[in-house]
Amino acid sequence: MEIIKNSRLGESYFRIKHKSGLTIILYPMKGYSSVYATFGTKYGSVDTEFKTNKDKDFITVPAGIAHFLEHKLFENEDCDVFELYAKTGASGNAYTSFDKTCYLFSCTDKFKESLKILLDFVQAPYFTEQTVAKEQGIIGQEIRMYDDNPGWRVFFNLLNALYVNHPVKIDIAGTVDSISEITAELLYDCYNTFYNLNNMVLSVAGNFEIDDVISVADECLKQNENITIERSTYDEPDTIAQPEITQELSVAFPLFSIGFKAKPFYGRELLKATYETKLAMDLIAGDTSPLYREMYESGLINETFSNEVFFGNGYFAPI
Amino acid sequence: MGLYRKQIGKGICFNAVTDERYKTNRITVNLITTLCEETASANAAAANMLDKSNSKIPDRSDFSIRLGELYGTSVTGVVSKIGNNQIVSLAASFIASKFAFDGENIKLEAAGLLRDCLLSPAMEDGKFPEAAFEIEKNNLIDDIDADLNDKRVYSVNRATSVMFEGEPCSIHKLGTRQTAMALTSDTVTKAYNRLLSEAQIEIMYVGCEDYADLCEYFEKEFSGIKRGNVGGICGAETKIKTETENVTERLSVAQSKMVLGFKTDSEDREAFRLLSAVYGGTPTSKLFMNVREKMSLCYYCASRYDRFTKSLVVECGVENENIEKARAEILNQLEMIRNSEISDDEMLFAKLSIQNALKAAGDSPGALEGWYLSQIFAETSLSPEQVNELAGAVTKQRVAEAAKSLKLDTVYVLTGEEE
Repeated sequence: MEIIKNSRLGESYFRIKHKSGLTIILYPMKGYSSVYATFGTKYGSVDTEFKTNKDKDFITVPAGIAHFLEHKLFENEDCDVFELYAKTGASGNAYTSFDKTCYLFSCTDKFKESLKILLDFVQAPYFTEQTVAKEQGIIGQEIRMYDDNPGWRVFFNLLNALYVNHPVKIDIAGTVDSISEITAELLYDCYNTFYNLNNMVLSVAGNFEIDDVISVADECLKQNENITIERSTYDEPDTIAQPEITQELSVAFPLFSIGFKAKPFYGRELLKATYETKLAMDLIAGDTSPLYREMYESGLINETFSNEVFFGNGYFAPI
Repeated sequence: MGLYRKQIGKGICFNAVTDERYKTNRITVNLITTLCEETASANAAAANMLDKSNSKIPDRSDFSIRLGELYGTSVTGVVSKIGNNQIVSLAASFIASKFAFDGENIKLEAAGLLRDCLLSPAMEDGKFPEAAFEIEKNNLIDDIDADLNDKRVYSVNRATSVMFEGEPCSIHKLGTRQTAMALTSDTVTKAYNRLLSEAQIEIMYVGCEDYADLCEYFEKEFSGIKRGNVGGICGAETKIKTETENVTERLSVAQSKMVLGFKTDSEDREAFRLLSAVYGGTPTSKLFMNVREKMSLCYYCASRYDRFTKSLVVECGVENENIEKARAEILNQLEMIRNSEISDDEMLFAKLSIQNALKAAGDSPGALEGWYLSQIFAETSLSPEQVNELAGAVTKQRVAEAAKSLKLDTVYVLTGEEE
């Protein structure tokens, strides 16, 4: 067990490599009422081409499948996961982003029982053509809901302007057309590749006992063969796709987003580049900068103006 | 953890909750007044003017730098509404003093900043500076218009304005575009002075440090304010329509929104808390399990009870062709509750969900502050634990009675433009 300490805060947390291959991070917070647990996999919307050491060739899957898989995992063969959580009083949820999918719950009681539910259902995929067809309808509605969100649209339009081939430019949920190509078999292919415990992390914070997490982990986690996953690099050029995209929507006033395409970084260099870039952006256009003040006082921006460093496997863009 | 409450002036109270677990503290000064179309925008504009500078630090960049020096302290002006009341709040959030590198008392520094922003704002010739005012006026107009950018928020606000037409709570918390456009720095300065003179002022401190010095500080600093006729908190009495009002609005949208607004004259708040959870408040509620999961009619379909307007709202995102089917099923599920068709599991799951949320309230300074402010509005001082006990005692019969008391007041639909 590795202990990570901060003496100024008087806080510490623990990191364990479980015998199953899972990385477990534990942050006990005594005196609090609630516990939060997140069980995540390093698999997101950008992972549309991949292979393992056992595959000869790369396989390509439809856009939106990581998010689709997230929805489907909640449907057990026997019952709905939300019904299981309801019995323990836990509040469960999940999300898919560009590079990860996470399943989480918070609770103030019956933590061990809720943790068991979490670990069990994420490790028990159940996909059939009937359940896939039903979810296509629900996710289709989710996609249309986001079509009306101007902040979401301006962000993805920016990504489409910056990136030529990289799937980061595609909506995390895919499109109505792309999700119509998803099959139960493809879901199992993705699940068996990425939901390998060696590719996953369990993180727990709040009022809990470390021994409780370890005992549930020992009981519930299955042994997974340690496979190597290779993710495609997508042949992304240094040049942008196009300098500008404008879309009309019924909005009260325009939104804009400006992005700069940089070469991607990896490993420790990525961490360094992220902080350097964020500092540079705050100096140039943060709320104490002369530029921010000039634009604010001339009415060009308001308090929603902000910046971020957007990065992942094969992409790095100050926005 | 209980609430410490002390009256420190005419219509001014200091409230505090301390908990040594917290690493950050919050002080919020809430100025509470009745929502009124003539003053809502002016009050909101005043909030925008107060959080960026003060008479000692009139330059906004210098003000941001000062916040940075105080380890990233934030000072934020916020406008909200509870029932018929508009609340103009100035909030400071800051780290606990024990984490400061050189032993600075961040708590008192932040209190001082808040005091200077609220009681000694940057002024020119006795009013808010023109140049700064014009910028914030445009920002306010943008904020009022911004509802349109979020169709879910927009549709709920539109439904509310129809449900409570003619009543203070129908007014948007920021007022209207028309009243905002007519604002001048003179009228906003007058609104600011009126708030200081007549609003009920509730100062809330939630943090890990002792509050005695803060109470003393604010009592001294607020003693110099000339107070007039303090309005107090405006309670809610709403008219219930005899027939449902149906409103359809068309905009260019991919997904339609539907809001069903119900009103009640029942005072059984805890029964409504359970009703809302059973009906549409959780992923195992009747609306989620039936309207979304079984019938796939909506991507989201949820209910929310507001005790300050004695209303319950169901809102959903729905495909245009499913609007009528969704409406019928939403009403069918309510009818089932009226007929006491509530399973033991549904009641148990609702109570456990409520218990989970209430127990967790104390883990966040912001959540706890919001909790006790709502208690002040309800003229009670119950802790989350006490409310949990009351909710736990609610029976199926009380839930059914609460459902029977609901009258469908308004159905609002936002849908696509006709081709």
